[in-house]
Amino acid sequence: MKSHQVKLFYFFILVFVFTSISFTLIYKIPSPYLLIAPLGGLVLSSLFFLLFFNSYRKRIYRNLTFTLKLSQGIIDEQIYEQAEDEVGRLSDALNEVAIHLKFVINNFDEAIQGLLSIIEKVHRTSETVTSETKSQTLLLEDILHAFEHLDRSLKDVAQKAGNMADMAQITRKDAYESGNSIIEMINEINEISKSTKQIVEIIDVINDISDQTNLLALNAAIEAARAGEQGKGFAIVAMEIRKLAERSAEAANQIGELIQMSNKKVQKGTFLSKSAGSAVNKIFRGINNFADVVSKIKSITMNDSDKSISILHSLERVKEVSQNTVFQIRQLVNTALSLSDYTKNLSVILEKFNIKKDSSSLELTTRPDLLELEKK
Amino acid sequence: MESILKSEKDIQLIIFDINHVEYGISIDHVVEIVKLQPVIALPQGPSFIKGVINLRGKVIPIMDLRERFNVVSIRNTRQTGILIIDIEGKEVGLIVDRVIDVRVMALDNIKPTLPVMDGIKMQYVKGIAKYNDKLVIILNIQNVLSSEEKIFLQDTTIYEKPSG
Repeated sequence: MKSHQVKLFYFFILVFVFTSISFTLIYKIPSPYLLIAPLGGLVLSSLFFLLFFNSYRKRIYRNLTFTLKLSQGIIDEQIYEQAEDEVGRLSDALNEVAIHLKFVINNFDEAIQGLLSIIEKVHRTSETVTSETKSQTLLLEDILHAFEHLDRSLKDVAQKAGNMADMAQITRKDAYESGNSIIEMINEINEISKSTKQIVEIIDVINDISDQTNLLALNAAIEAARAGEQGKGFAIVAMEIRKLAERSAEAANQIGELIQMSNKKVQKGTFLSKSAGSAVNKIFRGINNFADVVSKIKSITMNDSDKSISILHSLERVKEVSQNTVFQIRQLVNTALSLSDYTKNLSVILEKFNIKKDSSSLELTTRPDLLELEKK
Repeated sequence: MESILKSEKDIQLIIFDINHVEYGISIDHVVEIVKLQPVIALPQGPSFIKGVINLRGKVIPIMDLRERFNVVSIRNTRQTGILIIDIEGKEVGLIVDRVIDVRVMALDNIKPTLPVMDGIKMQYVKGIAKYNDKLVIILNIQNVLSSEEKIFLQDTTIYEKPSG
């Protein structure tokens, strides 16, 4: 029933009461009738009023019930009211409230679901990251050990290379001295060779002299033959001279042979000395190269050792960082747990609202992963 | 002091070597022995004359006995010498590989030669003698030159005036 009808109803009762009183006063109608008429009007109007009031009360009660349900969280229902009076507008407003509340709660529920799944993801990711970081730390420790070993090896190599370089220096000096000795020896042999050449020249001179003596003796013999009997003695002298010349030639030849032999030996000695010289030279160069290589190895290994030390420091730093990462992830897990608690509280609050939803979506306390999360 | 020639039948020989064969000639024909010296070839000289040498101002025609004895490989050494011999009053130089010795030999020791000897014409050879188990070919040096050659040497004045 609309409000202007109620007003009309009250207006009608008033008119009826005033009309009854006016008729009674104007037409001097006896008072019992006069009393009956207004009373009858009053009774009638009271009846009408009661009827209207009752219907209003019922409608207000329905609204009240609906409001109470809303307050209890039952927001799925709607109140149906045809009338466009105040009660109808109240019902409409309550319906609106219910719809908005339902929308908000539904959205909120979805948000909680999303949040929980995100927390779960964060947790899982944290777990993965933790385990990865732990294995990374283990790997880092392995690498650290390997690098420590490598560093020791490098230092060992550097030290050995240093020893080798020292030894190579000593050997180089020895080889240099050997080379000098061989050069001196070659010079001495050359001197011998020169002397031998001079001896050969002298032998040539002796040979030449003996040849000439021989020739002179022969010619003397010829002259003696020419002289006949007078030349006999001279012929014998000439023969003796020739014999002497022959003997000196033989002696000179023997010397010559000996000198040739010694010359051959000198030549062989020269050759051998030169071979030895070139061998020593090669040794010298080889040792030089060796010393260079060894010193390079030394500097490289020392450099590498420095590098490996810096790598070791870096690796230590990385280890610290990863340990810190594990700590940070624990913090993150704790934060996620707190977030989970808050979300759980929210879902407990939401449970008050009896709305249609997935049976599992708000069972926060029964989620095994979250329980696990709690345990941690 | 013993005598060089023990008897009238002994002969004094100059022994020389050509291509490892010992030859002997009578010392009476030998004037002198000299070392090999540069032989000056004559452009228009006869083929048997190798050239001339200047021996203390004398111009001596030189012939190579090695060539005459058909030695294939002729090599001059320190010992290569020139025998200056007198052929019918004319001095001629003969190149030999080596003058070895002056030897006294008995004429009986010299035996007549075999009919054929390698490379040497038979008219050169007087005989063969044995000496210390070695054979010595005794040459008739006067026959080493042919009569034409001797005439050439006797007649020509080329050696006194080489330019003419």
